[in-house]
Amino acid sequence: MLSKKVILTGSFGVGKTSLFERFINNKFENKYLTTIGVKVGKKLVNTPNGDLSMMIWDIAGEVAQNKVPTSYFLGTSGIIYIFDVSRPSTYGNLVEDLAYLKSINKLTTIKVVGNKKDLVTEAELKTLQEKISLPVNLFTSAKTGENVEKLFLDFATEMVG
Amino acid sequence: MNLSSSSTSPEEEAQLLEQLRQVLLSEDREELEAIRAMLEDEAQLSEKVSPIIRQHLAFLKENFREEYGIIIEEIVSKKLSESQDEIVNMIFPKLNTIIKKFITAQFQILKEGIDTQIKTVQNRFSPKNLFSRFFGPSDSDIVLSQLDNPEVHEVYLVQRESGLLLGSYAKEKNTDQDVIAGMLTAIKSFAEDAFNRGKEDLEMIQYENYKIFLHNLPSYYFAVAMTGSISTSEKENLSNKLITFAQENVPFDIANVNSTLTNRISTALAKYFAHFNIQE
Ligand SMILES: Nc1nc2c(ncn2[C@@H]2O[C@H](COP(=O)(O)OP(=O)(O)OP(=O)(O)O)[C@@H](O)[C@H]2O)c(=O)[nH]1
Ligand SMILES: [Mg+2]
Repeated sequence: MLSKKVILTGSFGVGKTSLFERFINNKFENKYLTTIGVKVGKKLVNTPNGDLSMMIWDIAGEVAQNKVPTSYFLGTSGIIYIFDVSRPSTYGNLVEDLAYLKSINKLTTIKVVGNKKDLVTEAELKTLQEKISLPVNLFTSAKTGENVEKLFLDFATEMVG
Repeated sequence: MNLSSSSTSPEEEAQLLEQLRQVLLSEDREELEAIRAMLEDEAQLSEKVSPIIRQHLAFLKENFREEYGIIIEEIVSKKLSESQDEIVNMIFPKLNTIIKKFITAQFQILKEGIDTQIKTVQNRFSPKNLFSRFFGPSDSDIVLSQLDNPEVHEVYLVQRESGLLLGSYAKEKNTDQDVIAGMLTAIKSFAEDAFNRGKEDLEMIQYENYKIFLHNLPSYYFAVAMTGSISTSEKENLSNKLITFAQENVPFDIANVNSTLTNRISTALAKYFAHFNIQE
């Protein structure tokens, strides 16, 4: 079985820890406890391409990605960039942040995810998608669990294949 | 002047008296004026008074304990006894860790001293050397080593950048080893980034009574969790062991981390470290 490192990043309070907890322990917490440093978790994923031991790094949110210690991104097979669909400030830096992440780790695949889908309507999501010039890979809700499994499973399948 | 004249009026008398006073007391008056001037002029006054004050201060400095010590002691001990509970509550939780740390540190110093002594003894041809050759280590050495024997509990081999576990050995079964490897890497990255911008490697993490030694190689690092005190020479033994292990068992370039590789390395680690004696 392969092992790969995946990192969850984005601004603070967007739901990185919530997605991590939902995926690894199938739990959701309404209380906001900001992450200090890094939490590493592990999940075994069975994909059509083979099994994967996913080592997931949940890091402390930063308003700009260049504030995150660079070494966290080294040796990463995948980066999941998360923003909060209900807070425009969390996707205001999207273009710069993605350019920065690509510049420090050229080989890594980056997924862009809009979380807290449950807080907005489908129509609002459409407008949001149009406003953001870059394609969003997936909209999720850590609260309802919608698309969380799919997010990690699709990514795992890609990484194994 | 005709003082005895009875014809003088009271006014004249007063005037005359004043004149007399001036004649008789003029010297005293001058002196009085000078004193008044001195009192009113700060610079002059301080010139006179300062040496005296200084002298008193010096005396106080020398004799403060005798003069005021008892009073202050009384105040302090009264305050202390009033807030005894508070102080105990504050100190007690700390005390435990402080004592533990202190003992560990003392053992460390002791061991290092003994190490160098043994070295110098062994370099010479001495009765003690002969004795220990025939009768083994001295009682005190045995007692010491049993008290705070360094012990390797777990060994991790971790890919440097990804933090992925390449292999591990643990005395007691431990299921979370890949998570520990990731967390160690995160701590290491954080410390190296924050304190020296990656110029130097973090070499040790201390956690309660555990010491985690980190031995860095270009693309992976070892983390060895130990208890007890480790002398410099023992640390060197450990490092040599780790390097030899790496040369014999770890591929130079690891592109993909998979369980075939990690199982192989873990088996080899167990062989190396299950009966590892750090003193040899
Ligand atoms: N409604 C809703 N709330 C969410 C969702 N995901 C997270 N939250 C809430 O948002 C808050 C922040 O979530 P976290 O997961 O702690 O955010 P984070 O990105 O880890 O934040 P930092 O660790 O500070 O960077 C918490 O109160 C969560 O309950 C979601 O999908 N829907
Ligand atoms: Mg968090």
